[in-house]
Amino acid sequence: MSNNAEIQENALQRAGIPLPKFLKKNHYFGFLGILLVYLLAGTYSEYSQTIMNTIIFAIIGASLIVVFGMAGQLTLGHTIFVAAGVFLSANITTVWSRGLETEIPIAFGVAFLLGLLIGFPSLRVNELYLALATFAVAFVGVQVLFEWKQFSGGGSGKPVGKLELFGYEFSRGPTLVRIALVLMLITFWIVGNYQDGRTGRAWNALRTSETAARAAGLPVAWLKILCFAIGGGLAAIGGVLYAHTLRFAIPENYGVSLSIIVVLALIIGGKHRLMGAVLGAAFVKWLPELSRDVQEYEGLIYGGTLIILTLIAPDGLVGMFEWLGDRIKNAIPSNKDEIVGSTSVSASALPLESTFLAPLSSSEPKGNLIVRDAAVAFGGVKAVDGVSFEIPAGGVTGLIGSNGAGKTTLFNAITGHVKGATGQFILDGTEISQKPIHTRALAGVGRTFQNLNLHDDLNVLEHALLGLDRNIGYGRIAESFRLPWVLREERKAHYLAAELLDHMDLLEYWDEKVEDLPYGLQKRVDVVRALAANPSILLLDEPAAGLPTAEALEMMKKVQEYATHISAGVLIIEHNVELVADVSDRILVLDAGKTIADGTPEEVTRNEQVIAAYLGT
Amino acid sequence: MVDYIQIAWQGLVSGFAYALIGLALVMVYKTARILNFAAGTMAGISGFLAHWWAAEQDIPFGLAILFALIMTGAGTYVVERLTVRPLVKLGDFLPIVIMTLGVEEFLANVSLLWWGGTARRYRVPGDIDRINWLIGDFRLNAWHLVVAITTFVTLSIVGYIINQTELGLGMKAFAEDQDAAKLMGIKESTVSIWTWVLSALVGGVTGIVFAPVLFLQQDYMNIIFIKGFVAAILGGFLSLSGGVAGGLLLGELEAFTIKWAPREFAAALPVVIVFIVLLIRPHGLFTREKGHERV
Repeated sequence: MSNNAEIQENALQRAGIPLPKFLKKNHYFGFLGILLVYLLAGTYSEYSQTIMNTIIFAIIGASLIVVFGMAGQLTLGHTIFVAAGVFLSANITTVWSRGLETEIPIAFGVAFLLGLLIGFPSLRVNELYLALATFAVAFVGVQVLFEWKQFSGGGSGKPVGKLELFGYEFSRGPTLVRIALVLMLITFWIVGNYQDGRTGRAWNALRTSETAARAAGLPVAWLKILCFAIGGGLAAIGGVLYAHTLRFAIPENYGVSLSIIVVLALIIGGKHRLMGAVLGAAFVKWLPELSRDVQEYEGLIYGGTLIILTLIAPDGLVGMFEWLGDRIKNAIPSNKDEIVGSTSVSASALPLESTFLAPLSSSEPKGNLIVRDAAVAFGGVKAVDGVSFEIPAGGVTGLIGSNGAGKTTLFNAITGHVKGATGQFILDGTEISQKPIHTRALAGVGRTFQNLNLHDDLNVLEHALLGLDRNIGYGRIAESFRLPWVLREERKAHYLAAELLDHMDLLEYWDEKVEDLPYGLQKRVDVVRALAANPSILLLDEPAAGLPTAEALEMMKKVQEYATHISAGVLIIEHNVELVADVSDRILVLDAGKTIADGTPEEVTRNEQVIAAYLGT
Repeated sequence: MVDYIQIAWQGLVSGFAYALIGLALVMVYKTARILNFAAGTMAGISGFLAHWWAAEQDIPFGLAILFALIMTGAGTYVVERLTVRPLVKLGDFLPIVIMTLGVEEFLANVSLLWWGGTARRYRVPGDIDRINWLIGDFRLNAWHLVVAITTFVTLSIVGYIINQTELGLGMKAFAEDQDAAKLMGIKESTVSIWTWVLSALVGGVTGIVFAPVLFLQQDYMNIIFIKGFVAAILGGFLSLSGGVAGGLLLGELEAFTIKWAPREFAAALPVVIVFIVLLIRPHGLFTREKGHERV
């Protein structure tokens, strides 16, 4: 047992959370698969064309994973990027007589910029509008291309020049397949790195709840535009390869129908996995090879497959295989499970004293919030009507009031979640009024939500890591290539997240998807996400609602301990007056959008106005 | 001066198509918060059926139109029940949108297999589309007049249904507040399906009446679909009359752009409009912004 004590020094190991590694199992499988095709490309040269098309569509599929699979932006204009790659390639090889070394950077760069532009409307509209806006882009893109004869050759198209790399000319066929495989490896590496890194996590977060992602301090607007830019750039690489396979670029090939096929292929394959991109590409490219009959009906089959898969397997072929795999695994009794079960996570000694959380400890109180004349009106209703107060740094303040008194609206005014709030909000000397939500979050405003706003599909650990995002010190370019410090920072974040989960008694659930957790634990996850961000002031919106008092008190105690650890202030909305009086140093009472009392719990509970307005008899 | 009137009339005629499709899209979006990507293709199939029956199967023109509309309604009913309904209870609209994409891919290929990819031009009874009247220097095509009349009749019927019938009331209730409508005992699935059918019929009429104006080609309604969508965005996507007004406005803009601007720009006009409107007035040109995010 003494050995165990040593192992159990940190929460991460105790829970068996795998530490991020440079290469995962998937990497080896992927690499082996690509190597196999690489070696066999010469042998089965009669299939070169089909293999080539599959690779190209897999690359395009991977680029779409970024936009649609991760960030959740349904785009039907993705072929515009492919077309950019194709026609840039045609022009560069014929007009400039340059090779791939010029084509790829330029295609990537131009499509990246194009993506920034196309991503722009995504800021203003919901996903439905976006789908149609991008659909319009695809539709009109072809027409513009068609009319821009100098660039595209108009209706008759433009030939593509020689396949060259740094002046060496290559034959097409197997060699082109090999070049394509290398590019596919790079694309998959980059997309895979996002999936394992902070950007992918942030995209997943914004897909599942934009409001919460903003509150966690993620720059949602930039992330949305970025997904189009990166996805577009990678798709253009597929376009360059497509140009060289087809050897002729014709505008009408890059219209809406190709856009739809690309999306269908990814959805059929599975939109959250790189393997899904490969399977989807293989499905649409090998099916027509089977026979002439199939060729005639291919569109029908794609459409039909999509309809059926959407009904029975929303995660596509990959999802189906994973589901089957799970079934098989569960059917075979294994003793491995028992071992895992027996080493269940034991309560830690004192997570707050662990070396990982120690650096966050602070003795200087934060969270001095000054609110001046805050007001919010919905139409003619003044939900918050000129509220002013000051919260001293480091304390716990309760905010009570009857239903509709404007408590949550006041929170939303402080965090920026409500439009048209007036008044001044100053946090630790920094003015945060009129700033966007995520800027206020980065300035130190942390919050939870009254009706839980979690990211379905993400697990508990990922929620903690999301909160930690701002403390993770690597850039997006480093992340793309998984440079050494990316791994170092990810590990640090994992250790920290594990300790925080341990403190909030969530450690044993780290791997659970949040939607599978009971309500009480979901509330804790919400709190953990806010705490992980190391806020100066934490706004808790009815953390105890729906919980038994004992459980609520237990959770509040943990929150308070942590808040004291980082010396943050807490502002808490709660209906349970006993609980509020118990944890707060001070209580503010709101009624009909105005403060009617402000003082210590004893003063407030004795105040006649408060009793009349809220506490009742 | 006559030149301008001619262009304006031309724009108005195209505008009718955009207005009708915009109306069809807004209708479904407003009541069910769903975008039907198959709307264009469905409308195209209606048009094909009507003209194909009339010209190649020797069915009287009026009867062919009636059959085509019945087929459209019945087909839409089946499509909604089979594909959309099972997904509605999931409460997430994205799978539904993807589903309509699948339906669009499926139907587009059905019609491709049926009629092939080449463009056709069927004759209409009495060759009405070839009759041109000259009023001074102003040239009026008889079929364009038919288009205009059909549009007004369709709009009036839709207006009547929405304002005077129980279905219309249900649609309005759902557009206002989905949950409240359900609590009031209005059956969501009934309202939804008849909205779909009504929307498809409006699309079908558009497809039929515009087939002689455009060439009948497998995807001839797609461009109208896109522009109908732009019309809906111009109108804020939640206003039926806004969608119609947006369609007419787009038709005029387009007609005058083609006259003066280079072709590349005229082709890009819809997207340019979408971008500008979304950036400046995401809630549309004719409606005021309302509502706020609730957290």
